[in-house]
Amino acid sequence: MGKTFKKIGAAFMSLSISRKILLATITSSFVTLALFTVTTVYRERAATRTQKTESLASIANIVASNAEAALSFNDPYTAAEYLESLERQSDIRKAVLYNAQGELFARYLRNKSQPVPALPDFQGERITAATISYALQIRIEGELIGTILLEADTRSLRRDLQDSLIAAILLLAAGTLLAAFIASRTQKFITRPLLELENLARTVSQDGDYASRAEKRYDDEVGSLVDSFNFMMESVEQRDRAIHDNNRDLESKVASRTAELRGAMKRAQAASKAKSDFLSTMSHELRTPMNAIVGMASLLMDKELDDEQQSYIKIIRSSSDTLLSLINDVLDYSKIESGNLELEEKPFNLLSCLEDAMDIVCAPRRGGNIDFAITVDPRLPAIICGDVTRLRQVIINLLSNAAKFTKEGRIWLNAKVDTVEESNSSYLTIEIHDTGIGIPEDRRHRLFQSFSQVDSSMTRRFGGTGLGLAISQRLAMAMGGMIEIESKVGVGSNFHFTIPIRSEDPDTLISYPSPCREEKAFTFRLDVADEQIKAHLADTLAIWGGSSDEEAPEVDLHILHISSHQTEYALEAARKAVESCKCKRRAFLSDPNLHEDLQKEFSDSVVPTPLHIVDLRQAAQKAIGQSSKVAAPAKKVEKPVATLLSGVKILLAEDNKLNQKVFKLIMKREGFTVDIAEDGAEAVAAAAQTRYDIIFMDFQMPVMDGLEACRIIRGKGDGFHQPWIIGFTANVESDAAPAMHAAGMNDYLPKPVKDQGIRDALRLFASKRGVQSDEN
Amino acid sequence: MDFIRWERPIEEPVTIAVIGSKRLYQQLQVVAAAKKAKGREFRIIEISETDSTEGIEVLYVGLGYKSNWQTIFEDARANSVLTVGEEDQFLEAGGLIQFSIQRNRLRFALNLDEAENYQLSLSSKLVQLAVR
Repeated sequence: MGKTFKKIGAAFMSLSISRKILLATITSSFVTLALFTVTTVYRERAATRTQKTESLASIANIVASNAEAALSFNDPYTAAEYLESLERQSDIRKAVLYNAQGELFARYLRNKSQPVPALPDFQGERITAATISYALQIRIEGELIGTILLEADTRSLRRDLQDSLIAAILLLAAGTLLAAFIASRTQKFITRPLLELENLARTVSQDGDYASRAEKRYDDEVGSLVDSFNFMMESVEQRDRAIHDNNRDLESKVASRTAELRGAMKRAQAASKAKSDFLSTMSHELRTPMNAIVGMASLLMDKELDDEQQSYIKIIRSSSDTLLSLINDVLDYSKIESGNLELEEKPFNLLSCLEDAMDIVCAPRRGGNIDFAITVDPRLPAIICGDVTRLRQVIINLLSNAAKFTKEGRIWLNAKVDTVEESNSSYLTIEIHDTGIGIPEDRRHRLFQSFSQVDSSMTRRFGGTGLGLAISQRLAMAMGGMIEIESKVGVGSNFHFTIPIRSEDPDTLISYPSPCREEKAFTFRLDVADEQIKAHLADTLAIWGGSSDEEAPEVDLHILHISSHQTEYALEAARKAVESCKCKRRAFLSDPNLHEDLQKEFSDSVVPTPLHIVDLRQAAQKAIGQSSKVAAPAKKVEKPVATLLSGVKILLAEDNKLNQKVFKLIMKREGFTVDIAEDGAEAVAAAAQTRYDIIFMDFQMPVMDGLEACRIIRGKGDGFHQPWIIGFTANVESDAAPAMHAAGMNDYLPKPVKDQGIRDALRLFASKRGVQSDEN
Repeated sequence: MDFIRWERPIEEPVTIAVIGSKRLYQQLQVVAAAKKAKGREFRIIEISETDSTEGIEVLYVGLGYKSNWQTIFEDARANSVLTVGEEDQFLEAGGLIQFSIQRNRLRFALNLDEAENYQLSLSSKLVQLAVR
């Protein structure tokens, strides 16, 4: 029910407005007229009925009054005569008189065949479908003397009703039609402007022509709608125009900006390229003369010179080394600053990285007042992945920094491992402790700024560009760590950083360098002044199966640290310590300067500081009577390279005369003669003429550079004798490697070229050639 | 009684007197008792031809009193008493209502001229029913 109603409602709502108006008008006028006619008909009917009833009542009363005497005197004939007089009342069909006892007294029947009704059980009127009856009791002085019943036909009544009903229906139909006619005429006044508006809106939405306007017809709501619509159209038109103008402006602006930006970008790229070009050129240009200085100095050192000359040469050599390292620092720094730093990700030996760094720093400071110590957590992986060069650089920087500001005491490098169980990741922490001058709290933040030292007066006292720590910090950050400092003025500093480590090799330092297959218990005693170092050594020995015994009169291993650098005190201290403890094996930890004296006096093994883990292990193995499985790496007597490579033909492609000369001299000393090519093109020509085994090729040369020359030689095809090509580059570090491999070079040497480097390169060639010839 | 209007004030209950008809008297007694039961009271008395008609509303004169009619009517006129009889010439002599049997129906005739003398008026309904 409700559903159908809703459906009808929805259908109505989607009709057009003109239909809605038409329908609404017709419906409302119809309803009004219908109500009106129904009411009228009903009232008419009621009135007619009342009238009829009333006339019946009055007739009954008259007849009753007339019949009183006839009833009283029991004269039915007269009464019947009275009743007969009703014949003139056409709608009265029956009239019956009953006496007081209710018996029939007199009657009038219009239709004689009709039955005589029984004494009525009601008073007044009774209306049935076809008749109206009226009953009246006749009384005299309150005494019932009879009853009269009149029955009238309602046919006329019904006919009247029918007539008025037909009239009403005709009226209703006529009214509704009239309403429809009026509505259809008037709705146009409303809908026509709306339709026009709708058509206009549709046209506008299709064509987008906001210039057209709607026509206002009347001053009603639709009229004001038309006004509003026109106003809206106008503002849209204005806005449209404004947007259009804006867009045009914007386009031209964007175009000009883009052009500007493109220009700026080109300039920036050009500047960036110029900068890196400048850097590599500078690198090359600075290194080339340095090459000559270093080379010549080392050649001079081999000559017979007096002491004074020898010391001058040493100064030249060390100064040029310092200058070289400064150049490296500056280049490094600019590379880091320009964001070109890329770290290698290759497995390397962590222990040798740490020990190498320590050796490099402490070697020039032997015989000083500083004890260098290194302790390594044996649980650290032996091989980790990363950039060994950069890690070593950071450690060397920190150690050099510590050494620079420490006059006496100790410098201690400690490496430990932290493992986070949940993430199964490990971290390497490097700590460098010194007993130097320390850094005041308020100066620490300046430490890692470029070209800054704690105090500008420091620069004068201690030297250095102030770049080392800034570079180290940035490298540490690139490795995922950060260098932090704890320091007390006058007591010392502790630089430390932690970096994540990745290791594919499960071997830890416990089993490194030579696995101790037969775990065997031994006792040891440590006479080491520094408690922290002592604890670390004890830990390491304990992991190898040792147990500390301070009080026992005899132990398997006695490690004695001679901290004093002055020989007589050191020997004195050693004697005392030796007397106090009996042992199977004793190892002295001492500065290498005391090596000979100690060995002479005690004939025990002397381990030079800083202690390498290999040496400690050997001492431990000797103490428990194990022969070292891996013999201590015997000093290999290097055979001259020339004996390995007899009769090889060598070509040097190098434009710089000085470098040519240095190279020639070095090669001559090694026992080789060398042909020279002035540039890449010459080298290619020479290689075509002569079957060279090795070509040393400078990267940067006039006419044709080394890489290009190499590519041409490699491109000559199978029939061409392919030499072993070694590149020289001043363009430090890893940038060179990919270019070199791409060009087809076998090896490369950084400039300035040192004799050891050349020897190593030749040995590599010798070993590789063996492989190559096997293949052939 | 309902169709007759006395010009003098009448006392309730209406008194009906009977002269010379024991049978009618008894009959009227029965009717009066029945009427009384319906709430209407009539007094029925028996008087002689010489008695005064004062205080009587309706007087029935039986058969055989022709000689006394004049005195009776005189008295009745004076006291405004409706006189009813059934003997011939009753109306001509001065009575008001005379009953008769005609074709087996009990009918009555009225002396409308005399009614004025009696200071009575007879209802038109009665007149309609009357024979004459």
